Amino acid sequence: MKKTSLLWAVLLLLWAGSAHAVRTDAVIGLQLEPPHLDPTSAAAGAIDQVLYANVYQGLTRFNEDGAIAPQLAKSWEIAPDGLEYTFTLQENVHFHDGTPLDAKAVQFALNRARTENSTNAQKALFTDIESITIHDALTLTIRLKQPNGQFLFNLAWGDAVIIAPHNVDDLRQKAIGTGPYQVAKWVKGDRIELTRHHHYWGKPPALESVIFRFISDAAAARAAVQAGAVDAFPAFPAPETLAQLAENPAFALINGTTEGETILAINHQRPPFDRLEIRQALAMGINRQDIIDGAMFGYGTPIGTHFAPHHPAYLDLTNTPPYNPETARKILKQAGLDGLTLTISLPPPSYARRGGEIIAAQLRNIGITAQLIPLEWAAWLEHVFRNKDYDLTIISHTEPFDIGIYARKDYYFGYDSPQFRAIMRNLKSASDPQTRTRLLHQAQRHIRDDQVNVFLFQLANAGIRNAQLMGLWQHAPTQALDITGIYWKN
Amino acid sequence: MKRGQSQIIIGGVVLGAIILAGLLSLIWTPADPLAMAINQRMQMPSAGAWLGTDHFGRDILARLMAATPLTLSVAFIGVSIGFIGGVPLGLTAALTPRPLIGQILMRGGDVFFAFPILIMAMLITAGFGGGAWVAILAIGFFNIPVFLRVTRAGALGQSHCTYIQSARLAGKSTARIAIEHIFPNIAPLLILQASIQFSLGVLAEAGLSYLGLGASPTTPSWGRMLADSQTLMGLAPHLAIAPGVVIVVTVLAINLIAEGLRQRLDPRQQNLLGRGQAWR
Repeated sequence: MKKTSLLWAVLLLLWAGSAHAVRTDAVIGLQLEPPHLDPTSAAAGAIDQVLYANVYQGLTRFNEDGAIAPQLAKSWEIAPDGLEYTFTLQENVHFHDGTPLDAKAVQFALNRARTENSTNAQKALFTDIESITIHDALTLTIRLKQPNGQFLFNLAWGDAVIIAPHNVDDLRQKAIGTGPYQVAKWVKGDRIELTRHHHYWGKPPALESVIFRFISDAAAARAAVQAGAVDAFPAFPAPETLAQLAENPAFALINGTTEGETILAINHQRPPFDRLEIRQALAMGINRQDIIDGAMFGYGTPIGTHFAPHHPAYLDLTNTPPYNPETARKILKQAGLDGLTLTISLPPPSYARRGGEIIAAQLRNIGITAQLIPLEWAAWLEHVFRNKDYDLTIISHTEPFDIGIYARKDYYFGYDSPQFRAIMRNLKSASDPQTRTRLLHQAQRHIRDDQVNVFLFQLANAGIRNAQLMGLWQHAPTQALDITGIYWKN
Repeated sequence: MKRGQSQIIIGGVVLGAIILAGLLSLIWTPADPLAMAINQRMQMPSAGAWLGTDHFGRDILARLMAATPLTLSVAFIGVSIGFIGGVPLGLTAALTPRPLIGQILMRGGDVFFAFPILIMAMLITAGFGGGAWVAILAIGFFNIPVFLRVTRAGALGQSHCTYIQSARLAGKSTARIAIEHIFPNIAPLLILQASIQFSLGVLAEAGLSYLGLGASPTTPSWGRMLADSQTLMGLAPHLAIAPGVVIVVTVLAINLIAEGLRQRLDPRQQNLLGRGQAWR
């Protein structure tokens, strides 16, 4: 009797303990591990996912809805000619190692990003800067060469964050930023642990520590979620299991949008893909909804041009040209390309691997034999992106507002259109919202008319979280996973 | 009934049925194994699709049938490479008058044997790209030392028999003795070993395709069907069960035949088998 009551007491204590101690940590699952910790020199999205807003901050930032908000800059004034931006910095901002942030650090970071030999992956963001002048410790003026309606947007990118000037040689190994979290530990191949920065200038985050765990295998990711080894897995690699997981009340679905335009990219430098009618035939032979349903299990929105559907200036061009395999087959026959054989290079994500199988089956219907070449990321970057050694590839372009890539002559799909470059130039100098919208419509139509690529769908931010874990972003307006606002419900 | 006959008959009938289904797939399948119908994916077995449809709405039975010739021929050609490469080397190692050559061959075989099929396939893929022939080569290379060892052990046992010595005294060359006397006498042993290696070859092909090291993604393959259905186990278990059962039944049938063959070998050669255990 004594024993049983003791046992009950212990159990009661355990229960009380577990019910009232709110967890102060969370584990977030990520499919890809960052190759290193330097957000200013690599295109790898995984770096921003871990570090953007959590560890590193910029003058401005993206909010969950994609809007631009002030961050290290408390406020700014724009000169009437649109050429001078005067920023006032937040007070009492310290880097993780205790050194204060001042206008000098900002000047250093932005100058470093725009110099001749800068290795910044998005150097184009800074090309319009003419000079940066410091007024006092907390105010500085950036002068532009020409008005740029997107300048504040450019400064919000993960590539424009303010790094600690004295850490510049160790950026790849050490992350010293101004964010609410600092990198405490990186176990390569497994996880990165962030802990709270106790001298953070802004509102302190609710959780003491957040761990990013890297699980690339879809089956393992699902097992980790089910076992509770990760508390949330945004951008879940196995969309097919989401509906089933969400039936369990312990889990809640994350279903939002991303900036990922998923395209079937075409190599214009390789005949016969330099011919418009052949590219149009490819587009007519592809049924987008089948790819969304088959590869993403319904998560995704069809797109007809390289533009995000949730953007106010988006044009729905998905029905032009309409899905029409008969016409596609006729065009190919007339061009003497009946029985064309081509290759599709596929990076690891399931949108590409599964999407590739579906596209191969659809192309088979219009008389094209497609060979699939599965590639790991490093091989994809080398063969497809750098060496342009491919026919077709499936890839999601996850940078926000990236229609400008079609103006790059030496970009990997090899599209070269002076008219499109002119549209982009006009857009850059336009600040009037109506003009901008008109130009954006023009740009979207232009790449559709040229059928530069086959535009497939907007990648969804589909994932799963513990139903008690609140404050995660539903949408992914940039390649970031802002965990500064997450907390446990009870 | 002779010993082992029932195993051979049962195994033979099952394997024969699988081979027939595979041959049939070359001219007819119940549906196009490559045709997708996304809106009819993951259907349970029905009159329209006897084993149901997969995650792209393709007919599972048609895909299983269409994958059979590839799987069986990859395993068969792979084992044949091992046989053709390993047996002459094994005979040489056993009968060569120079012990150094025998030593070199055996140690060389040991080095090859140290590489599992998977590592072999990854090396080939890294060097020359993927495809079904990667699986063939990996299985083939893996089997060479297997046959090398079995042949040498068997040939050594025979070489001390009186009829071999009398053949030597009659002036026959070592090569002729190897081909005319030793090979026929160890042939049952080698056939038995080949059947065991064949069933392992089927498993290896499935395993390599499962890992994406075998046939290209669009080609139907038992191993790839398993890999594709892995994350769908909770939603549609029949996607994984169908190829899983086919692999198990095929390997079982071949093993039954091998077991029957083993029982039919005479006791003396069974002893010999005991010494030549080189498979794994």
